[in-house]
Amino acid sequence: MKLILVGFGNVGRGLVRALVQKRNFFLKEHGMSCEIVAVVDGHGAVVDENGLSFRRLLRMVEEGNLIGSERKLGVEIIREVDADVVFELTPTNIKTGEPGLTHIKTAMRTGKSVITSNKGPLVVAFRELEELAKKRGVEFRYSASVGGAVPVIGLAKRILMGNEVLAIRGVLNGTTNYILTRMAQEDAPFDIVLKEAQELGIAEKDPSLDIQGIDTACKITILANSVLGIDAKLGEVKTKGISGVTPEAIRLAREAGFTVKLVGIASKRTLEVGPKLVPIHHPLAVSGTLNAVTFEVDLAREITISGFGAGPRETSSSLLGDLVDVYQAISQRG
Amino acid sequence: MGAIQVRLEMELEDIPGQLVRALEPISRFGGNIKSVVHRRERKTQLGMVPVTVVLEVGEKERFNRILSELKSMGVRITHVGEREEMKKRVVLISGPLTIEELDEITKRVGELKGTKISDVSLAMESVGGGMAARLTISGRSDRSLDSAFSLIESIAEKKRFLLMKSVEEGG
Ligand SMILES: NC(=O)c1ccc[n+]([C@@H]2O[C@H](COP(=O)([O-])OP(=O)(O)OC[C@H]3O[C@@H](n4cnc5c(N)ncnc54)[C@H](OP(=O)(O)O)[C@@H]3O)[C@@H](O)[C@H]2O)c1
Repeated sequence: MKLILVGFGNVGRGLVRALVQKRNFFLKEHGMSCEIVAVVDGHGAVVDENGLSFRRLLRMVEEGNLIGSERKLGVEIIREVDADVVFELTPTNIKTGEPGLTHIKTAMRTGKSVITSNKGPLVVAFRELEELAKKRGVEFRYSASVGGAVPVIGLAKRILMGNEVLAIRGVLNGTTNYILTRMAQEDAPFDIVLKEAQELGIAEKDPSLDIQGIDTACKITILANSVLGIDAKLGEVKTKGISGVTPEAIRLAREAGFTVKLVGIASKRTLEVGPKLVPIHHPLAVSGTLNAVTFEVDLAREITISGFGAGPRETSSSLLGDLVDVYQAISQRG
Repeated sequence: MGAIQVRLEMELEDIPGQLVRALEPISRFGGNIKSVVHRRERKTQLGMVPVTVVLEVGEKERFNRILSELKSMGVRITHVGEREEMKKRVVLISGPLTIEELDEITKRVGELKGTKISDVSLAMESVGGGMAARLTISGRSDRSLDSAFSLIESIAEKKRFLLMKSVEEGG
C-alpha cells in the first residue's frame, strides 16, 4: 500500500510513529506492507515514490518538521503522486471544510482511497463525499473523526450490523469532560478549571468550539449521517455548552445520584448537545478526558463503549484500523 | 419506574404448605413480595385463613399473570387493591433564578393534571450571583411528567436558565 499523509501535526506524526513501529505486525497479521510515498504539511512536502526511508520519517517525527521539503501544495501532491490511500489529517474547519475538503475530493477523483480524522469535510459535505467515493470506486473511512481511539463508528456499522440503531448518546469531548470532572472533584468554578486545563494542554488556547458544545455537535452530525442515515446538518443540532454549569449545580446533582456530563444525542426524534444529568453508575459516567458512547439498539438494547477520545497514539489506533479495513476491501476486489 | 404496588387479600385452607404454594407464582412471575400477614386468629366460618400480601410488580401484565395463576390454582382472592406508584424525575435548573420564579414554576406544575413538584433543593451560586435548584417532579404517568418538563423547559428558555434533565429520558 502506498500512502500519502496530508498534515504532519500531532495526529500525522503519531500515525507515522505507529506505522513504523508496527510494520512487521501488519505484515504478519494482515499481510499488508506499507510505504509512505509523500508527507505534506502547510509549508511543503517530501516525496519519494519508492517509499520514504523509516529513518528519515522517524527523524522528521522527532524534529516535528519535514526535512528537505519542496514547496508543493497538498492538492498537487495528491494529484501527481501515485498512491493507494491518502490520509487527510489537516486542521478542522467546520464552516468551509477546507483545506481537507479539496484534499479529499482530489484524492477520490484521482482514484485514491481516503482515511481522515478531520471532522470539517464530513460536517460540510458528508453525503457528497460518500457519493463521490462510490462513483469513483474508492474507499472512504473516517473512524478517527468521532471518539478518537474509541471504535464508535465501526461498532455501530459493523459489529452491531444485525441491529437497528435507535439512538446514540455520547460523551464525545475530552476537554469538557475533564473540566466537568474537575469542577465536581474540586467544587471549583468553570473559569478556574478551564484555566487549569489550558495550562495542562488539555484545553486549547481558544477552547470555544469545545466548551460551546460545537465539537460534540460536529460528531453528532457525523454519527447521524453515517450511523442513522439521516441527512443531518450541523445547524440542525440544538447545541448548548458547559460554561453555564456551576459547582453548586453539580453538587445538587450529586446529592440525587447524578453527575453532570456534556452529552450529544442523535436519534430520529432529536439531534442535541447539552449538559445532562447522568446517573453515577451509568456507563456513560466516565471521568477525566475519557469518551463514552451508548448505542440504543433494537436487539441488544444498550451497548456502551468507552476509551481515549484523543491523543496522537490513541488516534492512530482508529486510523490504522481503517487502513487495514481499506486494504482488505481493495484486496477483495482483486 | 412504572412499578405498581398491589395489596392482595385471599383466603387459604388451614393446612400446611398452602401459604408457600400461594406465594410461589408471585415470585415466579417476577413479583416482589413486600409483606405477608397471615391471620389465623380471624379464621372464617368455613375454616379459611385470611392472608394479605403486598407485592410490587414491574408492569400490569405480569400482575395479571400472577392473578390468573393463583385463580387457576384455586386460591380464593377476596380483594385486589392496586395503587400506582408516583413516577419521579429529577431536573436541575441554574442561572439568574429567583425564589419568586421558583415558586411560580412550582405553582404552574402543580396546576397541571396529575403532577407536582415534590421536592426542591437550593444552592446559591458563588459565581454569577444566581441560584441552582434541583426539582423532583412527581406524576402519575410518563405523559404527565413530559408535560411538566415541557412547561419547565419553556420557562427556562424564556428566562435563560440552564436546564438539565437525565440522559435516560427522552431522545
Ligand atoms: N489531536 C487529536 O488527538 C485528534 C483526534 C481526533 C481527530 N483530530 C483531528 O485530526 C486533525 C489533525 O489534528 P492535529 O492535532 O494533528 O492538528 P495539528 O497538530 O494542528 O496539525 C495539523 C497539520 O496540518 C498541516 N496543514 C495545515 N494546513 C495545511 C494545508 N493546507 N495543506 C497541508 N497540510 C496542512 C499543518 O501544517 P503546518 O504546521 O505547516 O501548518 C500540520 O502539520 C484535525 O482535523 C483534528 O481535529 C485530532
